[in-house]
Amino acid sequence: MSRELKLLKSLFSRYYRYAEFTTDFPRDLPRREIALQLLENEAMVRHLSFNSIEDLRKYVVKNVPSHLYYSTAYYENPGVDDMDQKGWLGAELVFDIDVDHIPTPCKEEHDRWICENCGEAGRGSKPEKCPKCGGSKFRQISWICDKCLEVAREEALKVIEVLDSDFGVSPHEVYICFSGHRGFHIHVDTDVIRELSQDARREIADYMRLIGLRIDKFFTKRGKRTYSRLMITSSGIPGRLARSLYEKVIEVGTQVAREVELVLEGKKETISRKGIKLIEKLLPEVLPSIRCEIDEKVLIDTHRLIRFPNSLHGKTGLKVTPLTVSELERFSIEKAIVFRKGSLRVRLHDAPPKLFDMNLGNCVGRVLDLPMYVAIYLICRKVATLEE
Amino acid sequence: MISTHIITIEDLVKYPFLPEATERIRRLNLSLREVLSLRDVVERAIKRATSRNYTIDLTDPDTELLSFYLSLVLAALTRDNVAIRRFADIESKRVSKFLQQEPLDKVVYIAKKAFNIDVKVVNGLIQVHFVHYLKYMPQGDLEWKLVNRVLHRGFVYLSLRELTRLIEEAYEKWILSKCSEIANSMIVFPEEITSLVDELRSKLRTVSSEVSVRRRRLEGVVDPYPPCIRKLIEEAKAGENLSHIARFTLASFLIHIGFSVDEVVKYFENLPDYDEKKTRYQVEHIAGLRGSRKKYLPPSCDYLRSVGLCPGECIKGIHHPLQYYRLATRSRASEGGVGSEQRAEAT
Ligand SMILES: [Zn+2]
Ligand SMILES: [Zn+2]
Repeated sequence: MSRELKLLKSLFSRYYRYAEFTTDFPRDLPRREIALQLLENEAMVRHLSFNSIEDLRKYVVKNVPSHLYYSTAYYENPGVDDMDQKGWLGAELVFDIDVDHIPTPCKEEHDRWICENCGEAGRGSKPEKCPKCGGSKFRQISWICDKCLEVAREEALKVIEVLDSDFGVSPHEVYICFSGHRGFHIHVDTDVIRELSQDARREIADYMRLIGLRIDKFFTKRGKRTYSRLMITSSGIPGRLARSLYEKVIEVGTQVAREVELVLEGKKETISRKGIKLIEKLLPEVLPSIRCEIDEKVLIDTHRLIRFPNSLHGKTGLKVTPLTVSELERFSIEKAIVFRKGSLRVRLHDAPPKLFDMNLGNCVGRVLDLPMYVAIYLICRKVATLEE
Repeated sequence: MISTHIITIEDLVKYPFLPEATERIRRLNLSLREVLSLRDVVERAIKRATSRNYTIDLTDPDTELLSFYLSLVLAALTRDNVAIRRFADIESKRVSKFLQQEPLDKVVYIAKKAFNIDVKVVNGLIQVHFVHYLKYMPQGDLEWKLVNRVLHRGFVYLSLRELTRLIEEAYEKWILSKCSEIANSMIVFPEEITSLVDELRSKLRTVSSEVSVRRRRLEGVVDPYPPCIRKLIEEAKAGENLSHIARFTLASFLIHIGFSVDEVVKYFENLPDYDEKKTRYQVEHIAGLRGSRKKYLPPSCDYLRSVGLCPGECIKGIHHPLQYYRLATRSRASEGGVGSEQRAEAT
């Protein structure tokens, strides 16, 4: 085992001895499958089950994981490895917001790709094809920054708002976690949610992402007149659409725009063909602000493994951090730091321009004394090695 | 026992799935053997299970109720999914017709009492909890997609007409689950029931029993079809109740790759509401032989995705089912047609 791995293993193990595992999140631990990836050899261990938090703790202190997961599903026999024998009883609904799936402008600043074929490199997310050799295999080097997290946090807050106003799931009924790396998980685990089928979950995913939205469904034709349900006071999607459209429409300033304004305000019931045309034209501009950028695969999957709250993320050494809504609102990555004490001398083989509050842009190749959590982060990302 | 003024004895006959109806049957305290000896009940059971035009005799509630429950047991014991689905379709469409005549409060009562649907009426507006809405909504219809509905604090707004549609779907699901419950139960059924079960099965399958050779031929070439079409073919074969858009997609796809109207019609013969004339008419329409004389293209992947018909198993870069087919048939020819043709035949 490398010295770096030995260090991580002892730090992680010591952390798990006192990690704050709770009985209310995840609920009903004995009904969950626990899975983990071992730090030592990256082997995935699945189909574990534990009757108590103390049993789980004993296990992970000894078998130190780089990643620790639990099943969003409840099973009759969570420890059985045959999926058919597990006895599915229901599953949480998890909204996964990962900045990896959201295009952010700052990716140009901190991400790079390298062509595995010819070595060509570039900034931002990897292209479809290498501009030099046409190859399609790349090594992607991604980092996150405050702006990335800010975007993810806004998306998370949007999801929480839609859950509350549209689905009637209040913020007190959701569990929120910083994932320890690039995003947030929002868990809903109420009785009625648990039994939702995959088809039903797909509908919810489409609702969040506005897939299949047909604006004409919010206009009703009666005789020659067309009535609009798009009003700033409306509930649900038509309400959000109306409020966003309203902001755009007041800038247009034409006569048709004035009519649409009145319709959106609810002062005029019917809408003209030209009015509808204008709304259809403005629609693409307002959709991004209403759409929730969630990972639909996670939402639909009823057998998903998800990070265990207060476990460590093996790619960062940060904590999978449970948050209240107001903590989410003021979230900064410092909140997820675990290894605050001490410092380490490391050699940097690569680094993002900025990490936590440190400017590392010009430090690649150098040996530095770094605060413990910064060094651990870089070691976890495999871009730093220990120096004497 | 009638627990509320809303529900009359006639209603129990129309809606035999209501708990009050079950209770009434239980109180008659008859064994299955005794029921089987009631000729009138047996005759009506077979008739109601197989005929869309069967008229319910509202003046003889007990005979009707018994015949319903007998038909349910017989359908279940066929253990034949095509037959059971057709039975469920006939039953639910009949109930739907009755429901359309009912006042709001009765429809709401039935939704709640029989299927535990969380429904409320506020200021004359009907609202259903989204969990129940999602459970029973018809699939593959943009009109019903949650994203196109007004959802407020957990409830979806519906018209009365839509609520009856939801009940129709709930009833169909109820029949299917009752049938599997009965089929999997440990009850020992009397010997004399077997011939009735056989009779019902063959009556329910009359239309589909005419198939034979051609279908086998069609099954052989399923390979170059995209996953969405393959899935639709399987579902049609299993006698599932395909949505309108699913039928349109399958039919227009097959027409476009060169199937005849006759061949396409055969694909739909296991559907619960199969009616050869109607199906032929619709397929001819899609093929451009009727009406606007326009040959319809199957919908794009984007659209199929939005109505939940895309299983999401395609290779990257496919945006239309026909594109997949062309790619698949082209690559097959280039890798040596004979070999792959044989492989396809074997499956
Ligand atoms: Zn290259
Ligand atoms: Zn960034």
